[in-house]
Amino acid sequence: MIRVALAGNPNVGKSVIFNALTGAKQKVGNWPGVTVEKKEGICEYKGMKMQIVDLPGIYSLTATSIDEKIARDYILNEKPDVVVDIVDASNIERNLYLTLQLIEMEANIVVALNKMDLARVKGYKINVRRLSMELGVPVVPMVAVKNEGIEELKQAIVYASKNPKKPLIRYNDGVERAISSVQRKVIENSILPEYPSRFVAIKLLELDEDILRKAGISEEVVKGWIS
Amino acid sequence: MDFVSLLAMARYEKIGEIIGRCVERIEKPRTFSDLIDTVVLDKYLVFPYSLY
Repeated sequence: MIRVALAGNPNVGKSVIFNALTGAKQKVGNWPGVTVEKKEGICEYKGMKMQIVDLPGIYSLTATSIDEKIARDYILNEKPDVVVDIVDASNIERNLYLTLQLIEMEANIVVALNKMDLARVKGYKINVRRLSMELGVPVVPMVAVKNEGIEELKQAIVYASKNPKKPLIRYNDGVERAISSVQRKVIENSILPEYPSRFVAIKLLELDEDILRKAGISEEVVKGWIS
Repeated sequence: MDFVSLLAMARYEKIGEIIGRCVERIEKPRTFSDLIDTVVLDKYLVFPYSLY
């Protein structure tokens, strides 16, 4: 069984894609300990079964809201085989922010580039192949409300589950130097070894309360590493 | 500047680079309907600056 999580900003067509993938085979409940709806379903494709989990709609993975914390914890702790990042093609700039954060988490991503029709109406011409090369992950153009691209998405999920990718997005030199110095300390001190070291380094630099608490270190220690 | 802001800026910088290489914005020619809309909006719905 391939375990798949659907992630994306609110209003990108996540529910439409979830329904198209799972049909009637859905189960609705709550995430443990909170009253946030959790939808799960099963998708069958060419004799393979996929368990699809619909994550709450989020703009980033900073864990400042319950929704962000649920999504982040699920990806980090449950380690789904594939994370489908649903991107609104007509609002691509804002949506790619979450994509970069998912790449930082070393999630095995497939980008579902939804609402391609709206993007065309807005005058955007997107080079999908180039976008896939730049991000280092598969990108599937879709118009989910018209059921366009659903089969291609299923195919991409199966392919990605067999060929996982962990692309590296490099930022400007100053930021990379800071990440490297903290990442070195993270590796040397075996801080949260169950999580990707670059992700932990980035979150420590951001003084992320959740990661600081889990790592058992203070802000001052991190600031000392940077200076 | 704190690292939350620096990292957010670095991410947007990277997104800008990616979009610059993958997305082309095609300006659509204005239609007669657009022209009518503009005239109606300018004439009747814009804040009357003469009264400001």
